[in-house]
Amino acid sequence: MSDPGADLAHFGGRPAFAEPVHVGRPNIGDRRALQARLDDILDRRWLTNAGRYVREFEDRLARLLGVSHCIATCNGTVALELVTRALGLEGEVILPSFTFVATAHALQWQQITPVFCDVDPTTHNLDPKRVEEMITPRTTGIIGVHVWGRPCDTDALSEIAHRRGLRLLFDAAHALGCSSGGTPVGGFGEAEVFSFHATKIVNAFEGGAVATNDEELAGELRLMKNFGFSGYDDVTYIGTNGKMNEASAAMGVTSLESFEHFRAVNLGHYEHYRDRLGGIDGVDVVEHPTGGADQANYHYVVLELDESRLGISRDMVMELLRAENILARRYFYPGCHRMEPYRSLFPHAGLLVPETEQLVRRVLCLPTGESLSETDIDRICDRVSTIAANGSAIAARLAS
Amino acid sequence: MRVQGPAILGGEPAFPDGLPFSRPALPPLEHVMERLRGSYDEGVLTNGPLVRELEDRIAERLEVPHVVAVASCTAGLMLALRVLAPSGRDVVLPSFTFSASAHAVAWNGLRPRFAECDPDTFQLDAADAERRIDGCGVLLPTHVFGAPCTPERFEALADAAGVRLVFDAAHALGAVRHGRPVGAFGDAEVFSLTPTKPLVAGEGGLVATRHEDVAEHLRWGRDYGNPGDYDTRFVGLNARMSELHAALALEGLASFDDHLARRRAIAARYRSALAEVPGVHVQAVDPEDDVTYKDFTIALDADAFGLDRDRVVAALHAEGVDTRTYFWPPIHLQQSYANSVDRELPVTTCVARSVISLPIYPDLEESAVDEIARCIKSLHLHSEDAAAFGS
Repeated sequence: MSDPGADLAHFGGRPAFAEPVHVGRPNIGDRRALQARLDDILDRRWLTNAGRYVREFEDRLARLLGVSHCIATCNGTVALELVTRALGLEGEVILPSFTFVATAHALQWQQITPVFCDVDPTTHNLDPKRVEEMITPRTTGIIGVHVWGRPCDTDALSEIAHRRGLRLLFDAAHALGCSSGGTPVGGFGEAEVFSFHATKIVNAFEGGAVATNDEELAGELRLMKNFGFSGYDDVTYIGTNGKMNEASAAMGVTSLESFEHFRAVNLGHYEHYRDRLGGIDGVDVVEHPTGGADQANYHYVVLELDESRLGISRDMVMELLRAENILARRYFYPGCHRMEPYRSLFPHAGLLVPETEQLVRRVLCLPTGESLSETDIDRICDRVSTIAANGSAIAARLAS
Repeated sequence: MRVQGPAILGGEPAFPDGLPFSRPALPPLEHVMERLRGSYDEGVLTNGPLVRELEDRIAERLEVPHVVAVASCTAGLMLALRVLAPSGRDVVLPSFTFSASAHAVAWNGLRPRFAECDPDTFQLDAADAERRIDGCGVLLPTHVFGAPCTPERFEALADAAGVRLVFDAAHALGAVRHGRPVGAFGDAEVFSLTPTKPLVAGEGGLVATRHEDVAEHLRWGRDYGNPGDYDTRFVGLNARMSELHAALALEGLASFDDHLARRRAIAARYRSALAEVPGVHVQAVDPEDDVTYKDFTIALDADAFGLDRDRVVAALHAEGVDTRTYFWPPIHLQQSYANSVDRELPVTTCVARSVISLPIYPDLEESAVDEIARCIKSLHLHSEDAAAFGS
């Protein structure tokens, strides 16, 4: 055999794909059903403000999540801002650094200090022991993030929040349709926040929602997302414009109708990836539950690459895959604490999140979703396998 | 007729015109101007003879070979660490101190590692500092409120651990530890001359050190790191003291000892007046030390006193008495360090939640001290009613 990996695109071989294959390529669902709903919206000229489709979206969502209230918003970040405000969070709030930066921004935007807490290296979620260590007299709340859709240790976090008198909410942007101990994500803490951004398993182009069983909180959020209007000309509260529009809601409803289909497709993709890559030394496929009591949405296919065993770094693997038009992605590199303004505000924050500092160098997300075929996945796995099998040699070649 | 009882419960305020927390005792302006005149007429406003004179007189007073005047205590701490701290190594310091102690560490790109304070003296807890010192490059205790922090214990600890020792002596110019002036301990001690301090330069600081090379580097450092040939040897600051500031401090020296004695007398009066009040703990000091009493600080045991700290502060405010809650919040709970430091310092948090600094300055009258003490006693006696107030 000639040079190991010589047929990789980076070294002049033919790329695995002619066109870029993205992580988070949107699921479209039933195009005709969406078009019919959009026509209906235009015919009735009701484009936003508690329209039929927003209400339908909220009702369907509440049923799926098994909660009494869902409040749809224009995006997940605004939903997070609204709920932190409605819960009266101030001072410091504990959250993982291993999350999308919006979780931290939603706090900082409201002059709440985000306190970055380390994660458990196996679950990738908040480590309750570390959470307890970060609590101070200024702490008012905890935001757990169900990373990759895998629920946090909700029991431990609830116990801490209860014992220390803190509010508890969850960023469930990844976790639609997932469950823990038989309880669907949506019903944990005082509220959970979802995202329906284009890249999510269910999307509303842009969109978000708060799920809660707290009727009073739900009422407050409804006022808050509509400037505080509690009736025509009757403003009773400080609010903003956080409304989801009807077109987004129509997409959300349509997308929700296909949710089980998307989930099944994702499961197939996940199992295929796992079967092909799971046995490679130095590659761990982040596990989702299959067939048991707990549900997952399998929307994130995540590898943990161990450079010491592979002989090649995650970043090099990512570069090689990019040359193949496989746009695998680092997540949430380099960690919120290393992004501005937090990097400048808290220059030593990395010292308190050592697991996060390692994790952001290990994980790599691979493409999945309804736009991908099994053949595509085979091609992706072929390339990953080639790179993994010749890691050291390829790394040496890249370095020379 | 005066309505009896605490003002917060409707009584007449003890100080209807208000009593300030601090008031600088300043020398006559004409004296300052007269002293400045020589430099001024020569056009020498900085790097001049008055700064050198101030350095010499303080060095003599502190019995230390070198004193370097700088623009502020913070700048002095920044430079002392720049000169003394090994790069990349953490610095152990108390959280119960002023934020500038930690800022000077962070500005040098070093990580502050906070240790607990002693609940009685409020000083850095030497045993806890020892537990945290592994891998550190500098130990940075503070002489809290101008009471010497048993510096010889930290000298022993720094020697044993092989780390540099710098004292934040911002409050402690004029303090004496068992006959030895604060200023000559450790590798360097850094003083403040702001208007709340016993000796005032307006703004300004002094670094005292027994090391000639450290003093030389500090002189370069306050001038950008420039030894005189403009070929800077390290990244310094503009941290020079001006002649005007030096003139003010030199004039202040004339009455400095009187002012210190006055502060000690006021502190003694507070101490005896508050001695029997349940739940009031005055900062514990060594009777063989001279304390500057930059601040006179009590810790309040809310259960024994019957009222919590914040209510007492509010009640004293109603009496017209201006107080401070030094050092609340302690540094480890301040926003700028929220993600930079270990968060669990239960003793420090508890102490910082309980402290009240009472007015103390040379021209505070004895009757005012007695009246403040009377207000505090009265609050204790009326604590049940006062606790209900505003709750």
